[in-house]
Order: sequence, then C-alpha cells, then structure tokens
Amino acid sequence: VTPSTEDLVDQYRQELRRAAGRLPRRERDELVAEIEAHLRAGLEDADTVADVHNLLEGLGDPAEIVAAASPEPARPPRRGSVALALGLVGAVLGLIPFLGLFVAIPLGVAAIVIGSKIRREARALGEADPSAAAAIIAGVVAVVVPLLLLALFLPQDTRVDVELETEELDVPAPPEPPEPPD
Amino acid sequence: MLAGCEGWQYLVVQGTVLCMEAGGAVVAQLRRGTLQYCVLALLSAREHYGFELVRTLSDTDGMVTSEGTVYPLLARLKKGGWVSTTWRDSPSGPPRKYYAITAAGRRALESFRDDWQRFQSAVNSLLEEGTRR
Repeated sequence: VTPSTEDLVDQYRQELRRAAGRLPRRERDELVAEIEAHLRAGLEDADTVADVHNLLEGLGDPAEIVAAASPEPARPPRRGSVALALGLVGAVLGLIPFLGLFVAIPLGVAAIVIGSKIRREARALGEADPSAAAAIIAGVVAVVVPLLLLALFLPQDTRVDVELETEELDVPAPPEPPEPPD
Repeated sequence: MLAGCEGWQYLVVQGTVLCMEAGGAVVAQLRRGTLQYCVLALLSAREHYGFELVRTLSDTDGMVTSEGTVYPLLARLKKGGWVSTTWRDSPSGPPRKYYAITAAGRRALESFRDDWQRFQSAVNSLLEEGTRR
C-alpha cells in the first residue's frame, strides 16, 4: 500500500468519525466498527490507488451513511414548505422596485440555502423533497427578478431624472432629496 | 443583464435536474422499501458476514447505490429481532461478525414474499393493459 492510498483511507475514516459524532454512542461505535471491517476486507483485494478509490466510492459518502443510521423523525417534514414560503414571498416582493433589492434578495438567498440543505438531506435518505426543490426555484426567481428590474430600469430612468432636476434648480434652493422613481 | 442570463440558465439546469430526480425517486423509494427483505432473503439461504453480504447486494444491479448505508439497515434489523449476529474466527485476519436470520425474520420474509408477488403481478397486469391500447 503506497502512502497516497493510506491517506485516502485515513481521510475517509476521519470524515466518517466526524459525521458519526451526532449518533448515540452505541450506534456510532457499531457503525464505525462495521465500516472499519468493510475497509479491511476491501483493502485486501485493493492493489492500486484506483481500487481504493472504487472501494471508498462504493461505500459512499460518510454523511449519507450516517443519515441512513439516524432515526427517522430527525428530519422534520415541514421545513421544505417553510423554505418554499420564504422563496415565494421573496419572488413576489422582488416585483416591487428597490424594495426588492433589499428584501427579496436576502429572502431568495435564504430560500436557496435552506432548500439546498433540505434537498441534500432528503437525497441522502433516497428521497426527493419537491417542496425543497420548489423553494430553490422560487429563491432563484426572488434573486433574479429584482436584478432584472434593476438592470432594465435603473441606468436610463434615474440618470435622466437626476439630470433634469439639477438643470431646473439653477437657483440654490433648500436642498430637497431627489424623489425616488416609482 | 448578464447576471439575469446566468440566473435563467441556472433555473433551466435546476429544472432539468429536478425532473430527472422525480423519476429516480420512485425507484429509490421502491429500493428503500424492499432492500431489507432482499437482505433477509440472502440470509435465509445461509449466514453472511457484513462485507460479503454488502458485496452480493451491490453486485445485483440497481439494488444498492451506497454500500455503507446497508450497515445501518443491518443494525435496525438486528434491533427489530429479524437478524442475529455471531462473531466467528476468520481463516485470515481478525474475527468476523456474521449475520443470520431469526424465526421472526423468516416470518416477516414469508409474509413479504406473498405481498410482493401479489403486488408485482397487479402492477404488471396494469402496465401490460396500458401497452395494449
């Protein structure tokens, strides 16, 4: 066994131990022992670095293995809908100029981040969570719509407005804040 | 505008990926529901140690996508009293933990075998009905 294959296996072991940290102690010890035995048995026939890669990939992502060991109710079923609601509210608010930039984009980013996390967890359990997927799409819309509005309307309109106002006000008047365009 | 284009492209890619996942999810759920009985069926022939059992399952096309996830399943089957474990010396290396089916496991397997055969023939006849029209 060359050092690089040992490194690969060690890295996998570390990832597994880290991921398994949240399991109850007995289950964790049993799971780690079984994976260790699998690695030992598999490494007997693994002659090349490619064999080791195949062994580790066959075992799968440690996080996925630990997710399969976690008790079922660890995943609250309604979180996907919460993320979806965030994304939808963001997508609607994104239609309001300027307010969209400050409210819709953070909401959209939150929906994408939470939605992706839930989707990853659901996928680790071999399921698809449609509400999480919808939350990601709504989140993307909530981010894209205000940016589109900004790109379409800001450069022409505001510049023209500001120029007109400064031409009209040749007498120094008490400073009034320029009105935000609708 | 460029940011907008990237956003729309991302949206299209996401949509495509999600559609593909929806199809795979059915198979994933079927696999999830039936894998434990496939394990019991293998064990009903003879006892297996973990690595051997997992390799047999993953050599069967489409049965296991991540070998490591079989071990938590085995732990659950043991906890539920459907399998038991015994340590045995191995001809090479450290002792191995062998899994065997229990009487309760055999009953569960037989009951599933009946249900599955009925379910399978019902689905098959409906699918064939669909192709005839």
